[in-house]
Order: sequence, then structure tokens, then C-alpha cells
Amino acid sequence: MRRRWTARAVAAEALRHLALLAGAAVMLTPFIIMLAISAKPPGEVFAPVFTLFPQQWFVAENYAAAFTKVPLARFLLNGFLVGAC
Amino acid sequence: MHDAVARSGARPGARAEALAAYALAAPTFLLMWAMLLGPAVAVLLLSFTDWTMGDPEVPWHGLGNYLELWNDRVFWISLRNTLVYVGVSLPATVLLGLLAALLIEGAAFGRAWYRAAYFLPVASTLLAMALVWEFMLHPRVGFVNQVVGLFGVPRQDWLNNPDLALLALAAIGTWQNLGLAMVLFMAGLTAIPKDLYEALAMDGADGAWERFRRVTWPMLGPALVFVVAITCIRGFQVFDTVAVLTEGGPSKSTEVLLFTMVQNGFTFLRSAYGAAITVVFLAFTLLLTLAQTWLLERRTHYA
Repeated sequence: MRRRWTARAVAAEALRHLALLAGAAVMLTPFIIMLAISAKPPGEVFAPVFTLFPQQWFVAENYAAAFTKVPLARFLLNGFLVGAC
Repeated sequence: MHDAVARSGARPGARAEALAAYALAAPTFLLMWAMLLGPAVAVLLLSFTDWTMGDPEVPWHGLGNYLELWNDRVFWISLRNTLVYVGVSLPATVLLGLLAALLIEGAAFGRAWYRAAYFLPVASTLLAMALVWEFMLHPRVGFVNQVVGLFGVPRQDWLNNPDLALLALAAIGTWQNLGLAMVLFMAGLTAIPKDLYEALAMDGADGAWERFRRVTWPMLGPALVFVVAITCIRGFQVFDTVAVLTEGGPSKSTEVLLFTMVQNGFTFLRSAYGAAITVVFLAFTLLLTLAQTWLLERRTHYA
């Protein structure tokens, strides 16, 4: 069906995207927060007000710790092996 | 052709045909018994015993486990909580899933992006995401409290308040399953023939609500039944969030069937009692599946 872009149709489409974007924001919030925390130093994680970006970037340290404190690479390989079988 | 076989049957080739049918069905039949029916029967038999993990003997206990269940306060709390959980998360998941599917399918652009965003929680590991939710629901630094604070709602300790904990878990469950309901509804939407809408327009009804009420909703019948059934079953299966976030607390307010089962079967090592709870759980799942099949056979065929 061809769309005719009348003023009403444009307004309806805008409202539709507003609702969908609000919903998508709620759905993605946990993932965004997970990423945000993974970039923060330990002291900032429990800061009383949540900020999206860390004051002090701690990405390399956190991910290096994740791969060295536990055999994370081995865990990932395990996941691939189970998935492949 | 095998003439001997053909001659002995009532119809030429009938016997060979039957043999071939059995041979072709055998792998599925064997696998179904080995993987699904066998374990289910084993659990059913186990629930009539007094066996504990590692016990060399299997003492018969008759209906003893079920009598104990009947008098077990925790079991009834657990069953009630499970029903409340399903009662809250099922309508929310189905309604929001349908709304998302309708809005996304009607959008002029960005459909793939929205689909991915709404489906991401289904594809992620709930066990890991439960940890993020724990952080988000933290009473002091949690993101959720900061957001509701903007609307003037006082801070809550969501997971330690007996009145809120189960609702918080139901909200997480809705967040996780909404995307699944959405894709299933989308599959149902694409199956609706376009000429029905054209016929409706010919008859002079072309408003969005009329289109939904007269074509989309009735044609979505089979999809709706399937979504309700699968969301309901997944609701009954709630376990990960309970195990990670609340462990059935505070004061049993989030004790649910599968959690009670795992606790009895594996923590308290009461395998037979755990099996009896599993039988109750399986009975609910079976009932739902039968209701779904019955509805799909009876009500939702328009062809």
C-alpha cells in the first residue's frame, strides 16, 4: 500500500516513533547500564547519583581483570564448544 | 518391489508401506521417549517413593509426598506466588508485545532497529542480566529509584519489600519475554492477507481502529493463543531471577514452584519430595498445552 504523506500521516508517524523510542530506551537500559558500569573504577560504581559516563575511564583495567582473574577466554571457548555440538 | 510382501497384504504394498511408516517414525519415537517422556515418567514414579539422592534403596512411599505437599504451608505460598507472577506478567507481556508488534510493523522506517532493541533481552542470558537488575534496583544507588524519584515517588527497597519483590520480578520477567511475544505476533501479522484490508477499505471502513478490530485482531487468533500459552508456560518456569535476586525471600514472598522444587530436591536433598513438586508443575504445563491445542483446533480456524 502506498503511503500518502499528509500532515496527519506525518504526525502519526512521529508519535509512533516517539512511543517506540521510549519503549526501546526502557528495553535497552539494563544493557546500557551494564556497559556504563564496566567502564567505571570500583569507587564510582556505588556513587549516589548514577552517571552514564565515568569521571575516570577504567575500561582497560576492568576488562584486563576480567580476562586474568578468571580464565574468561576458556569460558568463552567452552561456550563455543557447547554451541557447536 | 517385494512381491511376497505385496501378495500377503490386503492391498498390494500395504504391509511394506506400514513397515516403512514405523521405520520412519522410530527415531522420533525413541528420542521422544529417551529425552522427554522417559524422564517425565521417571519423575512421576520417583514422586511415589521416599528416595533421597545417593540412596541405594528406593523405598515406596505411596501418596505420602502428596499428602505432605497438601499440608505444606510453603508449597501453597509457592503455588500462590507463581500464579500471581503469571497473572501479572502474562497480560503485561501479551499486551505490550502486541502493541510493540503493531507499532513496529506499521512504521515507515527503522523497523529492523526496533525489532533488535525489543528482542535483545530474549537473546541475552537472564542469569547475567539479573545481576544488572539487582544493581538497578539497589535501594540506595539504584537507577530505578533515581528515575521514580523524578516523579516524586519515594525510594523503595524493591527486592526486600515483601509487597514489591514479586511485582519487581514480574516486571523483569515481562521485560525479558516481551520481545518473544512481539516476534510471534509479527509472524502472525505478516500472515494476514493484504486483500482483506483492501476489501475493508472498499466497504468504506479505513480507520486504524476499524482495521484492527475487523481484520487484524480476529486474524491474529491463532498467534494470540500460541503467545498466551508460551508466555504462561515461561511464567510458570520462573527461576533464574528468584535464585539470583531474592532466593524466595523476603519472608517467602517470592517463593515460586521451581525454586521450591530445586531447594527441596537439591539443597535439602529430598529428591522424592522435589519430584512431587515437579509433577504438580508438569501438570500445570500439560494443562496449558492441552488448552492451547484444544483452542487452536476449535476456535481459531477461519479457512
